Amino acid sequence: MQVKINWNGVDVGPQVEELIRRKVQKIERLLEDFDPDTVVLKIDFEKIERKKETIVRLILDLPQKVLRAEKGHKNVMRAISLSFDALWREVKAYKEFYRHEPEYKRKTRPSIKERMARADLREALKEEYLTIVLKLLKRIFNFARREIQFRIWSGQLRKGDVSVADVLDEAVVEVFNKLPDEFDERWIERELFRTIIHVIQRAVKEKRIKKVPLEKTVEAYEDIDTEIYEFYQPDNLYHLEDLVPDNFFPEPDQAIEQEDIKRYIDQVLSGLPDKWRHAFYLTVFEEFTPEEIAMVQGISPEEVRKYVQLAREYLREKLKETGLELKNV
Amino acid sequence: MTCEKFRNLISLYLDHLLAEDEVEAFEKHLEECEDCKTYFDEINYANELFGSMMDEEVPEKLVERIKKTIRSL
Repeated sequence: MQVKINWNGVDVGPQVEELIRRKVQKIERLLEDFDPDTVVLKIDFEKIERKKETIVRLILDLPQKVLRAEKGHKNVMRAISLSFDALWREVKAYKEFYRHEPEYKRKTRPSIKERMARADLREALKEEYLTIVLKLLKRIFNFARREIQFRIWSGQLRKGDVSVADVLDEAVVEVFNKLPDEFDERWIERELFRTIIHVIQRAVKEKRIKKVPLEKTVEAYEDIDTEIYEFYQPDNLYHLEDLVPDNFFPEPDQAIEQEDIKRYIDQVLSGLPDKWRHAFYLTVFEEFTPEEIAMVQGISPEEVRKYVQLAREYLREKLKETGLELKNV
Repeated sequence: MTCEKFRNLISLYLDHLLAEDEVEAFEKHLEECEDCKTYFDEINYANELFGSMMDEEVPEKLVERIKKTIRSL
């Protein structure tokens, strides 16, 4: 139990302090069922000059209840005893009531054994989680790195807005905090990819660079995904040019050297709508099934298959425009 | 199989998501239709090109940071 005392200028000696210590102990014994970190006792002293007495106000803050007691006396020791006795009775009465409450409503303090077992379990869980994360680290590192790069190329982020390390740090904590009772490596893998996407999307929202053409007023849009989603109608006829942003792509003669090709690939991929790119990336690089990607993206497997197909068709068109040959890769 | 259907199945074929009988019909059309073969080769090439991006090694500093983060949870 935490104890906060506000003396308000009341002159006290060691005897008073000792009395308070004993009275607090007595209350604590009554509260053994409660987690001590969740209980706070505030003790306020107030000297009433007119009556020449001291008022002692006690406020006991329990997790689901606040109990109060207040007594005054000319003798400060007596005032303390009276107010603590009153509080003790309040606590006792509350415990009686509490005892009749259904078990599930109680927030009781776990036993030391239980707490140790929980702590051991958590440590073991952390180590197991760490082992899995380290195994996946290269893949999630490269995924996050590329995702950030794509967002930079597409103008959604600026260089230095967000770091891969920060994204991964946030994602591993978030996934750990939602670990279910039973999980496997595949679950963690999916959740990490999904969370990395969300963390980067949050960063984009926070640091969005809004480009407004000077010639006309445009409505601000929530994000490019939503815009594409609203427009996307699988049963209708559509043209890739209508759906994807018209980014800058290098001319064929610019994309000859290896580095240029890598850069070119990044740029072309950054031109894909996010959902297409995620679906394509997770299919081609991570060999996720459409069902798994559907879980990551929160869409249906049919949509995933469609996005992968659209992404491939788009990439084929871009390649044809540049005239790149396979031997250059 | 029509050319339109063939083109709609290319992506599923590349991801091994077609049923056996569909694969058979798909490959038969691939052999017979020159235009669709060219289209398929272009899609396949794009798939290979974009799938050829090299992964980078994880910096040791980041490995240590992740270890520290998880152990401090």
